[in-house]
Amino acid sequence: MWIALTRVGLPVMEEREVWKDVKAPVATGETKFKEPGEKITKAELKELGWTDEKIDEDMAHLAKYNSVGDEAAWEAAQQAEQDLADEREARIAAATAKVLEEIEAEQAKKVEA
Amino acid sequence: MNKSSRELNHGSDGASVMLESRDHMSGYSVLWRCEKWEEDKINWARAELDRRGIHQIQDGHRIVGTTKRSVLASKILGRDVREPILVPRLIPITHGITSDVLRALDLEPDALEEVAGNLLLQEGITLITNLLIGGVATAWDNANSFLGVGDTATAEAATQTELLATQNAANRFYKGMVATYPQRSGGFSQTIDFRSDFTSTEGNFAWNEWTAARGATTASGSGFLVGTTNMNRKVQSLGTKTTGTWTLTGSITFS
Repeated sequence: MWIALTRVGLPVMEEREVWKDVKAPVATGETKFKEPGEKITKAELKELGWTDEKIDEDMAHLAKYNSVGDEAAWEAAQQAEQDLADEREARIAAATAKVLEEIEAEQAKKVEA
Repeated sequence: MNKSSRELNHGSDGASVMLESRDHMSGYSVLWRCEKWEEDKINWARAELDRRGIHQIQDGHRIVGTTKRSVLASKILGRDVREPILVPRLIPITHGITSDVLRALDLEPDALEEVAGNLLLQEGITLITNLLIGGVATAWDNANSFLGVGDTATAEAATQTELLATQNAANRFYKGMVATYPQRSGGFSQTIDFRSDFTSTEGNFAWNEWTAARGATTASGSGFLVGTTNMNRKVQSLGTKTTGTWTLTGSITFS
């Protein structure tokens, strides 16, 4: 079982005659899209007409480029996103506090004067 | 999302197949059209052009060099940012016949396939949004747009940055735009059409994937082998090209 870490398009395959009496799985053009966080199971891929060989090759390829992973990879990706959001929020809060401090200091000076 | 599809055969031998599958999505949709001319029509066109004294026609572009400025910029940045200078490329009619010429001679395609959908790639999305806010970037214009096809049916993923077929003219091939493409059509000019011709000796392999790229490098004949910034990728079998002219048109509609 895998989890989509980015948007992933899984082509629907079907066995067709590609040459005289030679059959091979080909992509029909229909695509099942997976949004980040959605699960992808081997049974589902087989339902889409994928062979074991294609599942092994494609999922290894997608994993290599961080397009799919397991739950740990999904949690790590979520954590990284959260850390980034937290860091951004902290920077905004610090900048806002600094500006407020400066305004208060300015007002205090005016009162003293 | 409402999905519908239909498939119909026409022509006495059933060779002419139109497959239509549409995703009705608000905002963005893509329709791909592949027109196929068999070699016997190409030969007829060759004979007709020869009879009229025409022995060369325009097909795509060729690189004539690059500016000193971009060479210098590449050295400073430490990565290749050279922008190729493209000029119209003339080919002998023995090499192939383009779709514009075939249409001008009233030769209809032997087969047509229409396919909907694609997956936008992250590098394409970044370039689109950059262009939307007026960022410094080269657009998908006539000189810098390419349609690429390849023989790999590996699943699409947003992180991909290229067709997945081996970098070889026998496995993948990028071709420049037909003259005047990309062009806009429809109400409010909401549809953008990209169109490339793959003539007799080009792209002769199983067409399993394709993409619209901004920029292409590594020249091969009148095409290229590497797409620079790929907008999208679609996996679908369009058949195996062995000769003749195949014309791929990608129509992107915003609504």
